[in-house]
Amino acid sequence: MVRILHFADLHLDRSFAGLSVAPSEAAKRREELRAALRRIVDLALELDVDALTVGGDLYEHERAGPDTGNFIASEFARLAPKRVLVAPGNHDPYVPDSLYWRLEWPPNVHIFQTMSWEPVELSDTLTLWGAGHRGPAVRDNLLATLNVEAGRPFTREDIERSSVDFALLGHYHELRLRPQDAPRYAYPGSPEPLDFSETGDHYVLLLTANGQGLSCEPRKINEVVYQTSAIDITGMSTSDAIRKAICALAEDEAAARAIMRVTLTGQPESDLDLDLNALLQSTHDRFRYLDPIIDKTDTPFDLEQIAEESTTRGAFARMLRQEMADSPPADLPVLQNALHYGLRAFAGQEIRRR
Amino acid sequence: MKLSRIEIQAFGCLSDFAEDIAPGLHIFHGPNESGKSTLQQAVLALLYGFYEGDRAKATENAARHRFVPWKHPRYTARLEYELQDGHRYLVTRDFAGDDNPTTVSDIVTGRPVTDDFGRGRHGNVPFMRKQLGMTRRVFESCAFVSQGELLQITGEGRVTPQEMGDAIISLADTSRRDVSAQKAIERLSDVLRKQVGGPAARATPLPVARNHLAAARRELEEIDRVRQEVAADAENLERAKEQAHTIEKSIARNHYLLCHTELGELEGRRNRLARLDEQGRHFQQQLESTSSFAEFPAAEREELVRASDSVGELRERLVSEQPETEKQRRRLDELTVRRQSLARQESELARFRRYPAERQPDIDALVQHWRHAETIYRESETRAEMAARAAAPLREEHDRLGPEVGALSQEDVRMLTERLRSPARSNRGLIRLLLAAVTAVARVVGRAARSAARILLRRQASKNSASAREPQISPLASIAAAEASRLLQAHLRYLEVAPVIQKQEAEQAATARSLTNRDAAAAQLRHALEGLVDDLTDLESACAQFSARASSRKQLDVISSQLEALDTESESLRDTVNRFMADGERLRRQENQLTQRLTVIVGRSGTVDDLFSAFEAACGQHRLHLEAVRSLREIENTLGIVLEGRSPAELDQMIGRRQAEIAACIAGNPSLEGALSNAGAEALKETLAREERQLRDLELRIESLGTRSGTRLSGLRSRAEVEEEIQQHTNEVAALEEFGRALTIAHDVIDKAMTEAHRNFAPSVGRFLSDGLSRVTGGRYHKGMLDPATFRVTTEVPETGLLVDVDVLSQGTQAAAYLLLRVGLAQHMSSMSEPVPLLLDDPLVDLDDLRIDNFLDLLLDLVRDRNLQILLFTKDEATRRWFERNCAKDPYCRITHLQPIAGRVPVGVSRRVQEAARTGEQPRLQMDGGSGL
Repeated sequence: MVRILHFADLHLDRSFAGLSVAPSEAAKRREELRAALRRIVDLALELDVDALTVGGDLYEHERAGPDTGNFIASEFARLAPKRVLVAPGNHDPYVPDSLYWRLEWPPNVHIFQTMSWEPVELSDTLTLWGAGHRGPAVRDNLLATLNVEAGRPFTREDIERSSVDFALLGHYHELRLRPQDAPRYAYPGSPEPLDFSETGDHYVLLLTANGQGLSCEPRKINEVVYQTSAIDITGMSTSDAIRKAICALAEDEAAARAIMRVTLTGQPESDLDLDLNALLQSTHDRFRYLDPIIDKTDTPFDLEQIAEESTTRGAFARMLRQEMADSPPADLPVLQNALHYGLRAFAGQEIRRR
Repeated sequence: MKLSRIEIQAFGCLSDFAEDIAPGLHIFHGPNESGKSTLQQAVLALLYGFYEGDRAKATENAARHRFVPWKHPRYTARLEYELQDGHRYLVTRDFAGDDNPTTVSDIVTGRPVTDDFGRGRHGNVPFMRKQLGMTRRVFESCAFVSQGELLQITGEGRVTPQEMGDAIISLADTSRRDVSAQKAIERLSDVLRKQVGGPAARATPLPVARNHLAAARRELEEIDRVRQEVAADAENLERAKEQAHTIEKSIARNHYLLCHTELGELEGRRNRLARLDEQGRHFQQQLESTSSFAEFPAAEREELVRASDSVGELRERLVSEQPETEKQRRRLDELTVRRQSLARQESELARFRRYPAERQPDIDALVQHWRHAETIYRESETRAEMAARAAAPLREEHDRLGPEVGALSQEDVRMLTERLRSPARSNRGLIRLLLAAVTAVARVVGRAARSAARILLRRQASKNSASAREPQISPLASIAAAEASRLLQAHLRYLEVAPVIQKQEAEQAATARSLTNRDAAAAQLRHALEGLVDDLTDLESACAQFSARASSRKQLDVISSQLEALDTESESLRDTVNRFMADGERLRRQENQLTQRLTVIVGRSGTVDDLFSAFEAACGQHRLHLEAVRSLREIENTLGIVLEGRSPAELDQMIGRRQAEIAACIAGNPSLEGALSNAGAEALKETLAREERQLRDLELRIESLGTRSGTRLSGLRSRAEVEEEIQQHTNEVAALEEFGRALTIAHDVIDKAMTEAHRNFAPSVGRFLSDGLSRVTGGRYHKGMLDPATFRVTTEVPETGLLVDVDVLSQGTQAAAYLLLRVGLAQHMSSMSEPVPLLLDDPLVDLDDLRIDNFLDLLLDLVRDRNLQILLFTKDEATRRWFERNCAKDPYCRITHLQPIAGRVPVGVSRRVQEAARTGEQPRLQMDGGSGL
């Protein structure tokens, strides 16, 4: 029996620019990705697998430095003499200035350096074929040399037509076992979710080959969860009520451990002083991390009534509503904000950026 | 805003006055000196105080002092009012001291709210500005009409039109009094300036965020640049490693080839040493065998060879020149014979030496001319003879006819012809025939004889003309027809014969002319030949003689030139033969000299050729000797070069070492065995040295690149961190820009809304004016307009249809118009915000009763329809009557009758005091000394 632990798309040293997180949180997230690799190696040792395989995008070439390379090498060295087989992906291609190329790797680490298939015999009955990216984009049809024709990403039919028994893949960040009843190929997904679109648990794959064939078992590996919540603040007349509503989310233990993003919706009271930054400061410690609160509330003013006033304010409201009716949808948010800010100015209320 | 109650302890002439104020129309009616204007001023002072700012002005002090109570020591009053939103307030002012203590409190809660409005000096608590939205001056200008000031809306001490407009706009801003559109704009501008930042700002959030973004982008560019350099270094490192590997392989191969080449060279040296030994032995033997010729005078060989060569060359030349010399000698003999023959011919022709043969071309031309003249003459003579033979048979006939008809003119012929035609009709056929014949003959002969006949006829005509000039009748006119016919026939024959005779005569004359020419040519020829020939009798023979003599003279010239040529050639031949003879003599002399010298050197006698052969053989032996000496010396030198200071044994040791190195190279890389190179050892050494240098350089470069790659990125932040920072700054900049845009839009739209409000108020007030004027004047004036820039009122005069300023109309109409303007402004402001109470002090004095009624009706409608509160102070009885007629039972209206001050007790106060006394409650106003009202 041969057992392989497979993972992909760890994206060490990833930039979390898209999340608009604070610098300290981004650094923490990168450290958590390293922690995920430690856990994977620990799991491989615990399961006593024959090999650990990496389906690409272990790190991000443009961002990773020698420190990350040394970290990876030291983690893989812990597995020696168990073999670590790395197929460089489009984010970590095997190029001269890559960590794969520049660093000294432990003897148990094998890196597939070309886009042509290279066999590695794991046992008398199991040969693993690997190939790695030599650049950020691949146009060659790798599977063409394995008796199928396919583009990238290849289809289930391509793999089924090929002569392989199982394809260990990488690229998609969520778990995909295909076909689900009797998988012939699998994307393990990223071991840790990387943004708010990657909700739920994340996995590595344990592949077992024995006399009866191959079996593939997902093993949960993530420590981090991304979660989004919306709070309707209609009827809440004070900031304190909103603060309490946000804090109430943290009563769910899973939510408290999550990287949380809160969006406020509904119709606020006209006297409500909605200071998002103050809300964030007063609630963020309830969560593992709370993303800047998003204000999607409607304006607190009764626009219909104001528009009927014979006052300057009424004229202002009428003019802006007319402009909103005449403007393309893309201009509506700024016009809505202009209306909001103008009415707050008339009301003598503090004007805060929404 | 509605005033609900006023209580005055003392204010001017008023003291201990208290009155509930009707929420609609409240008329304070009383005669002069009853305190109506003082009461109106008291309300104003309670609402606004006497002072607008913290620094008291003299006019404000004067106004306060004007109302210092006459008798009462407490210069205080209170006013209760209610706002539209239901809040009720009590304002209490003490005007006695300079500080004018003022308090405002919420009547419902009892809470003092003075501080909510801010507190200034001299009782300056701006609660009215905030609650009503008007300054004191604006309030006075629109809602407060005092006696005599009806027409003074603007002017000194009053608001300017702009101030009034601004107040109206301010009222139009919002329902809340303490925030205006202008303030909203200022607030938005302030937020835009502080929280975003204008174009020129540097320290505000937007430029700061942009600066941060730019800095982060620069940092990212720097990181990318360094990363690109690292990538380039990595590629260069790989390339350098590959190059180093290639060079190492090349060095190994070249080292093998060098060892191989050096081994071959060393072995070659060893072989060469063996050959040199053998050559040394050979030359030693040669040296010994030629030792006897060591001192042979071979040095003279060069000179002797030169002499021998000279003798040989001379001999060969003489031998080769001998046949030609012989041929020239024979030629010389032939030339001698030839010369002698020519000399003889020359002597024979010597007599023609001076003959002028050069004249031959002239003579030949004359001969030719003469012969040509002779030919012409002969031909002419022949033609003359032929003409004579033709003319001979006709000569007699010609001579006969000539005298008879030769002189007939054409006129004569015509007359003869006429003569034939006229009388003899019967003979017409004959005559016709005759005429036809005459015509035919004339035509035939005519052409041939025309010229001759023309001459003759001309000659005859001249004669006839001479005779014709004579006035006589021709005899031909009277001759008979037969005679005429005969004459005509004779005339015709004459015309045929005459040309032949004339031709013969012409030929004869031509022959005579050619004879003359020929004789002249002969004379010329003869003259030319004269002196050149002996006999000129026969010109032909004379010519032949001339030609012969000229030919002889030319022949003599040829012979003379031939003789000169022969002499020249003979001289040349003679020189050649003589030179040949001299060379033979020189040859014999040189041979003798050479033979003598060789005999001495060789030491024996013989022919010069034998002696020279012996000399050459001895020289050969001498050369062999010298060659052996030189070769032995060269071998000695070569041995030193080949061994290069080493001994043969050491050479053998070097060969052994090279063989060992080659074996080691092959052991390291078996593929090298058998490798060959065309390059020599030096070239290989140079190549090896160059490659080793390259390898050292590459090793240094590899080390440098390796070190640099490891250190380049140190000191730089993680790219991910910088990207995150850029994203944050980008988001911040975008948010700030959008925030700024929204603020700017809000600002601009509010500004537009203000403009619209300002634009609208004048028409609105104008409409009120028009309606009010029409109503008050009973329809006489139905159009009123307001100029917002000057607050002037114009109306249309019905008689003219022209718009005129109301100032030119009657006092009553002016008063009505400006009163309506005040009320219109107040109601316009009230319609936009908090209703403004109108305080009108006898505004109707200039109106007639009808217009007073109309105006009061209008005010009542405003009270009822627009919810205005109007306090009207008047002494007018018509007003009182109107009130009693129209409002006596209206709970929103009230009339208070004021009495003259002296000894009076206000009605309202007395009623309240009486009521208080009945119920036992403490009156709300406490008078000094504790006495109740």
